[in-house]
Amino acid sequence: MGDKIGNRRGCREPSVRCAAAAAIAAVLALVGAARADDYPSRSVHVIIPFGPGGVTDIVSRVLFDAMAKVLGQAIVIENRAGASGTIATEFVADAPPDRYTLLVDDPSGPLATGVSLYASRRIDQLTRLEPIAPFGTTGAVLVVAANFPAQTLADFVALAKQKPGELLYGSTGIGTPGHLNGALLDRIVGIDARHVPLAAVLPYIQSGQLRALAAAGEHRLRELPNVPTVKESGCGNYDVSSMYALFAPGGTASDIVGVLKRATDQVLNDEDVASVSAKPASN
Amino acid sequence: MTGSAELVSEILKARIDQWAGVINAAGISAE
Repeated sequence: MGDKIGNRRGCREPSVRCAAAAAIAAVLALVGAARADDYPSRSVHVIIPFGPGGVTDIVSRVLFDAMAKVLGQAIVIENRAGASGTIATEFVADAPPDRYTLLVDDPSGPLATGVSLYASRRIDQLTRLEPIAPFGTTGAVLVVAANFPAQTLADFVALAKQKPGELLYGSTGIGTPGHLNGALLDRIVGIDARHVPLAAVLPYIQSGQLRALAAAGEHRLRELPNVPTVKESGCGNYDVSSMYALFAPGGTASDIVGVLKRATDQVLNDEDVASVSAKPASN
Repeated sequence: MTGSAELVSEILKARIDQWAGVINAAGISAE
């Protein structure tokens, strides 16, 4: 046995050192298993990178209320907003991989954009965070004022090309997903629309003050089933859907990640959680 | 939705590259 272990570990001949290494590895494996069995033995903190009341916050609270029951421990949600989520990302990336500080973030949006928007912070999101599981998505939609002349996305693109720099698009601020999604659309369809900050738009669509031109994802939105996707509108592939995913600090033990992954999946199969998460988002 | 950690990693890698191109081309800075 000592030979086999020694050879696997690159030892040229069996030795006390190799045998000791094997023994230590076995002990560490047992310790890891015991930790997973006991986990969590106290409350878990989940960091939300945005303020209270937003979609990420609401969806996360529903999920983690149910997950706390599955895990048998309280899950404390902390909102650490700022710098498009980068402050929260840094906080969790710098946390010890002690399994009790986790992060909710969007790998398709702010977690990815922060690399370029805040380059001087130099966080390596790919190594400093350990993905656990995705637990939801939301779509996006392109809308215009109800009295705007464009009836379709193709109309809008044609108009924008006639008036470079004159059409405006809204988001909730510089560097936010809405802002960057607009910049991406500019690039994909070859227009020059200018960005201005705005508020949530779904209520305005539902009241008829805004007209939805296209859903900005792979599929039509549940809340707006008659609105075609950008692809259906003939304007190329444009998917700026958001994803909610749970992360742990990089280096978190795989067995703990497994415990959290199984708990997440179990909660997502709960009808109560599914029914709440199926409600339309308002921003 | 349910899914894997690998899916999250793949999306994150792809989107880091995608957004870097958009942000740099548009000259967007949040700092």
